[in-house]
Amino acid sequence: MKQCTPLAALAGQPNCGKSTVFNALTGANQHIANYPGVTVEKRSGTLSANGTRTTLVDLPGTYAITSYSLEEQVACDFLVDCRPDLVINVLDTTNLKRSLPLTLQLMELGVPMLVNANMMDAAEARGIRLDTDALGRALGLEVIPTAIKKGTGKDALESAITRCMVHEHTTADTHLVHYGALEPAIADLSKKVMEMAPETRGQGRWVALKLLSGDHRADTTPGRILLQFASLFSLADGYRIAFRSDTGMAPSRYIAEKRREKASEIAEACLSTRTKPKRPLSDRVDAVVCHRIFGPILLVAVVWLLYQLAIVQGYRLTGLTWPLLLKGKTILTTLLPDAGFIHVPMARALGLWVADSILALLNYIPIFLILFALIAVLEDSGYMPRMAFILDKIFHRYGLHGQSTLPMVLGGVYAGGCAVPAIMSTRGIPDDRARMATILIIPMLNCLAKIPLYILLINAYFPQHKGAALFFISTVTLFMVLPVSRLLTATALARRPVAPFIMEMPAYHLPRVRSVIQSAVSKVWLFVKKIVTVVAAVAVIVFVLIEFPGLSDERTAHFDRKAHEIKAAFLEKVAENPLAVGMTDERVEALVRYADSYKSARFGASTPAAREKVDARFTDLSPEFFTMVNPGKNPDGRRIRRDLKKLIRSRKKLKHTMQQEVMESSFIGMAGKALEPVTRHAGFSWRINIALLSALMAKENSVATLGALYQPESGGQSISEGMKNRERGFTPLHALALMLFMALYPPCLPAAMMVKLQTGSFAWMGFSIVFPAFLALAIASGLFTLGSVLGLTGMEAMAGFYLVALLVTVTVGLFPLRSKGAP
Amino acid sequence: MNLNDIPPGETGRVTTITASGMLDRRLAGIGICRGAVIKVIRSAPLKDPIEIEVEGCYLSIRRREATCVGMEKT
Repeated sequence: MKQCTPLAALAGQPNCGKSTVFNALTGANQHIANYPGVTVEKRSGTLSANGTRTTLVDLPGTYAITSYSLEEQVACDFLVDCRPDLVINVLDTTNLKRSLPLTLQLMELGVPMLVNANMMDAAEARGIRLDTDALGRALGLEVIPTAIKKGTGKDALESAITRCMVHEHTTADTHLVHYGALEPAIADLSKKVMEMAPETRGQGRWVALKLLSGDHRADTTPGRILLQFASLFSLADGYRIAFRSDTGMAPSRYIAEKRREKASEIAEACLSTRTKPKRPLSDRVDAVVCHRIFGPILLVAVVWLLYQLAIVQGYRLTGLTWPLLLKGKTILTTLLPDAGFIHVPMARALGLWVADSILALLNYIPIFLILFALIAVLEDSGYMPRMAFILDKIFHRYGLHGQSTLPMVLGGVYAGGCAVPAIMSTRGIPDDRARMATILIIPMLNCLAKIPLYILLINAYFPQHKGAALFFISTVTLFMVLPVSRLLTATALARRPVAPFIMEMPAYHLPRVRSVIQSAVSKVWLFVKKIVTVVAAVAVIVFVLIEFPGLSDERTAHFDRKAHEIKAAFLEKVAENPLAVGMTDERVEALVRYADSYKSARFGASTPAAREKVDARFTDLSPEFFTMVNPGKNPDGRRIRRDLKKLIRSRKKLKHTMQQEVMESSFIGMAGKALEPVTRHAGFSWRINIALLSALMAKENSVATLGALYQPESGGQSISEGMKNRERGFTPLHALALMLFMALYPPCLPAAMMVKLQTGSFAWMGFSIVFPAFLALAIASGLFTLGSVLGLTGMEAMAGFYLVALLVTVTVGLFPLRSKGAP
Repeated sequence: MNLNDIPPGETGRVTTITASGMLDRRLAGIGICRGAVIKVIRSAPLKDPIEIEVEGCYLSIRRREATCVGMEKT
């Protein structure tokens, strides 16, 4: 797999400043994707210097390149499979001794290498002085000192890379570390490796070391690279067992310690520490941040601030951006074919539907921007690991991870969150099982879009206990997701690999504005690119489900007749009016269209000057119609306008009745009715089923659909009143079951897509949809049936359910999770 | 005694490591080998996990995982 443009790879340990180096070298020319088949992020970019272009790939930060984690395997696969022309190893100079084992391991791959000693400034500040020449001599490689964060050394690094690419490159010495008693075994195995695959780099020494470390017996399945040497596995195992019985030590340990010895030897030879490293400032900060009492208080404060700034203020901000989006829609509307008197042309209906679906998502962008920026601040500052440190004990009991905190806050641990950024932010959780559990429970938290339905139901059925009901639904979700997470961990996720909670507590940094903005923008862009496009495609499918098969010819004729009647009534009324001379059926339709577009144009004009401009435009368009829609003091015009308003009202009502019929006879309507025998146990009528089905696409739809279904008879009624009138016998208990169903409702389409992106599998996406659906139905049915049998009121059932959920959560939490998954 | 038994603020030296698999690799990766000096900095507010310092680097580790690191007082 050789590429045309030269290929270079950046390798380094976590927190060595590798990303900063990568950003500095590639600037805006970045491309983020996933490695094929896995969810590990692959960042690549183009480095242009001195007229040569190089593709630079940022490998995942790893402490080693064994096969024990996905990141390590990906890094190793890339280095071996893609055969980069140069590997740039970024070192954290402040911690050379710990950085070097990876360097030594990379060298054993026999790749052309360049060493970049980064964070020289931070080392200097701690009184550590590195002799780069001595390091270069010890390793036999070129060493470029930089302090990329300060901006020094970038040019030197760039030209060194280009030089290595074009002229000479130093291939690393694979025999730098001497493995003492293991050497005969290494020699034997590498000889056999070279016989099997002569093109293997580094004389096969690294393959031998991997086999002796037992990488082919790792928890994860051995990578393709090792599988081609499967015939050597038993030989390697023999050597391993023999070594173990001779020395009482696992060869993997022995190899690691030998590398470490060499690393210490090199580090001591080229470092001179002027002052004893003092207790860093970060540790003093931590004395407060991780304090037994102040720590949790601060944590709650940070979470509250995050919620306030992103969700509350962000939501307020959408009030400013929404009109902009509407303007875009207005422009689109003018491009689509005109609406008929009661029938809407298919192209127009579809166009508007797709536009609405996309706008509903784009509307979240202000919230996302703030949210992603705040996450970047939390990440860059170093507070994130402290959050995990404080809360890990609780979360671990439920199969989650300390780092599940942030995704859960974003997902809406109290009322109002969004599953999309929440699922996106699970990427950093190193424990695969906990990460999967977090991803699967996030959609069951209270996202923003579930709130309108809650409010509607609470207003209609719990008017005396609004506060209590809202508190119930906002907090009960947590007591449902924690036991569910534990359940999933013990069953569906039992075989997923787990990782130890060994997490670096990096020094605190002041976040840099540039990187915060860059991170926020790139994540929003990812959202737009990956989600919005899919939503547009699926919106078409949903449109078909809602609009087809459509009305029968007979009903269409019925509605046409009705339309004709109201038009005739209007014509009769205005017959005497001098302004309405020559008014015909077609003219009436044109007038209604004119009035529609005038109204929306006036709506878009916010200043008096703009309104005047609109008036002038419409006068030009048709002076006669203008006197009818905006008569001023003209008495004839005023009379027509009154009748016109009546006509528009009856037309609206007629259209609505027709839409209602279309929806009821559509595929979704049929499904809603077909499901009634099942959902009856939860107390849902077919109307509610339709609303719930329409929410699959986006949860906001549920209230909009209910609005269409419970269209109030008279103008002044709200949807909740319309609902109360239509659904006789619907009690607070029904409403409670519906609320719980909505709480556990499957993820909306964008969130489901995010699950696909983060788990890398359509199967898990399917599970994330089907499992909550069953769970929600089971809980809603159980509660409703039991509540009906016991004759509980809504409030009693609510209190009972809350207590049960709380009790289950506490009980489950009392038993610690076994650390190993089921066999 | 193991890493779990060392109270916050005190230091010990690694004598044995009984971990295997992933945990063993991660411990090796962060420099916990025989002879390494570990200082326990603090426990989390809920007592678990703990924060330790190895070679100037601050790390967290769960108590269960810490029991795999045999220690002696320095």
